[in-house]
Amino acid sequence: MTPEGPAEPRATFLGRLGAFCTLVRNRGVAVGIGSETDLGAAVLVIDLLDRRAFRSACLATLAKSPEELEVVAEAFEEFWGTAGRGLGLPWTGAGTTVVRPARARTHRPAHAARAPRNPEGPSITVAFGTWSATAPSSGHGLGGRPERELRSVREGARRLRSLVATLPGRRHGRSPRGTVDVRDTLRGGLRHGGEWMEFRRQRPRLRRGEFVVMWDVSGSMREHESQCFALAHALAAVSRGARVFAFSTNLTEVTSELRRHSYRRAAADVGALIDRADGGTRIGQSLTELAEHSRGLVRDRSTVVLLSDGWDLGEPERTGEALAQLERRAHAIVWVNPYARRPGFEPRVGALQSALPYLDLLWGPEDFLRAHPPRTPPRLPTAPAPV
Amino acid sequence: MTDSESWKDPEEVRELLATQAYIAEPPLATAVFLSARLGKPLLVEGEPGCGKTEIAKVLAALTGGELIRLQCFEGLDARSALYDWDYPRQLLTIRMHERDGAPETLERQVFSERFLLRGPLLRALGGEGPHRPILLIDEVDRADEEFEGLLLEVLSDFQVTIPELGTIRAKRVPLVVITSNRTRNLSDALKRRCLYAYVDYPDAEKEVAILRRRLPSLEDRFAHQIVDFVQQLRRAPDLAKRPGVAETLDWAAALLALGREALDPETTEQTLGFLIKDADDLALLREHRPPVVENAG
Repeated sequence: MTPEGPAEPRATFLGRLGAFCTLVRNRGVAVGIGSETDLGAAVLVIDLLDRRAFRSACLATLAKSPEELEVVAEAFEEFWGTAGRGLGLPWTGAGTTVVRPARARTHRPAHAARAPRNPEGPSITVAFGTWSATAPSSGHGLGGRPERELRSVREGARRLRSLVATLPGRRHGRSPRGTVDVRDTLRGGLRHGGEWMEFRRQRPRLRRGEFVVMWDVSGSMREHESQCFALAHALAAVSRGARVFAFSTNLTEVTSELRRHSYRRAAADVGALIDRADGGTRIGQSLTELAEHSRGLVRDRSTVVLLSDGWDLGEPERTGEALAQLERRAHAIVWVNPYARRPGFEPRVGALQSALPYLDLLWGPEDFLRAHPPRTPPRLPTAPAPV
Repeated sequence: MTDSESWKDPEEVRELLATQAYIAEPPLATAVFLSARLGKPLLVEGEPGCGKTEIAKVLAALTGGELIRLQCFEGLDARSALYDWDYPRQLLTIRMHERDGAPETLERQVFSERFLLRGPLLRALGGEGPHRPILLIDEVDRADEEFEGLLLEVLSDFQVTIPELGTIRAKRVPLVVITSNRTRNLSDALKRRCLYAYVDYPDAEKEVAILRRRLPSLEDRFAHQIVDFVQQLRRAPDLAKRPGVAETLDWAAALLALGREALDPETTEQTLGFLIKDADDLALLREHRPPVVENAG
């Protein structure tokens, strides 16, 4: 059936189709012209009297992930429940029950987030007070992440490793733009009766970076701790010389516990080791401890990865001072902030502000799941607001 | 066998898939229908073992088209996926004709289609048969991101450019099914070129229907017992890898082979390995014996 209603011309229907795409776009789904055209072509081959077929066509053409399926389905019910009136489609204006597809799944990409419903930015609850090294713990549950997400995070850790590995090493590897490797060229010729079919080239392989991971396990990171554990575990797994430290008011090394054969066992062991970490956060103090007492640890091929939300009950300026020390010795400093990719995020907290000049990257956990994560350093806010 | 270009609506596709014992939800049937009618690749994501790859196999059986499968892996490159030259044959030909042939003629000869080793992508474009070929690009998330770039020209224009031969265009646009387990996010450029469908774990009713279709000798009551157990297992917390439909089918077939007609805790425990493929999960279930195992049967 062609979209011709008794009261409205075809142009009106196409206009409303465009308006629907705009609505979906405004909800945070990146609907391109190509997808919009696909939907236009799809409505020409399906029966528009069949609401289910039209809805499925919208889902198939506009959404590109399970999270986007949910957004498009919701927008469909809201938009076509009313906007389709007068088009001669029997199902419009009725049946506005929101039928959600499968439950929301893991790793919602940043671009798939809906339009910010809270323009003030993410709501963060912070317990104000002073730190205490002997505060009781309310326990740490670190496991329970789906295997698929763990694999994705590990891929992201590998991407970060290759992103920060920039120093050429002694080993060479094949490369189309390197110098001619005579031995490999001759060896390759043997397969073709001694004829040189191609020059094989080589260049020094980039040395793999080593990660020094500083993981904030304080109370404000409670809701992100299993996610951060997965990140720390992945970073330790992809870097042979990685060292991982958990900190809140004290610095505790958890590298050997992380290297347990089983992820679940590692989560249990690390959870037991950091079990008295609910007395606040002292990022600056912990970084200073790392900078001063672990001189051989941070070297030219080390990348310091800080997993923290930046809420600090110590002196925020000490964070900047400690990072300035580390920056002189480390190859790069990366801050992974759980809120970095949330709409409305600004680096307002004191520790993060004092750290910004020394950071090479400011990532969110979502960046570990992206095929092309940002490679640019973070920008300083133009007018720093008081915390 | 039916011609995919003659499909009238998604409901017909759904019924045709059901004839091949593939129970599809309406969104998936619509996506398959639109993919066939609009000539767009279909990207299917979802949980492992829920029938993503099976769609391509069923489509091949339905349409009679050749199923051309490209299994992706880390390090997959253009030579494996697209084409390579048959260097030993080229060398032999050059040696045989180097005295009598003009160099230009010889060059044209050795860089002709006769010496081309076609990879799966090129074979899908050059399909000679009476039916549209089905190109299955399986587990594309396992391949490197660079490989996605290679796919872009193939999937958007259905053509491949070979420097020595020129551009080869598809004689018939193949039905393309791309599957991904979402171990990483695919590039936006690739997603934009595809229609999208997500295959989730089926609900109990649908899973029973799948079991009955695939294993006709399975009694209805036993099928319900099996499915209830698997559905409970999927809801169990702390499982790293949940069983998919493929695991349910394997387990049901195993139980039939053992001559069982109803679930009992002992058999369930002995055959848990068909459902649970992770050593930690297996140890967890055997150690703690959650109610789901205790109450089996």
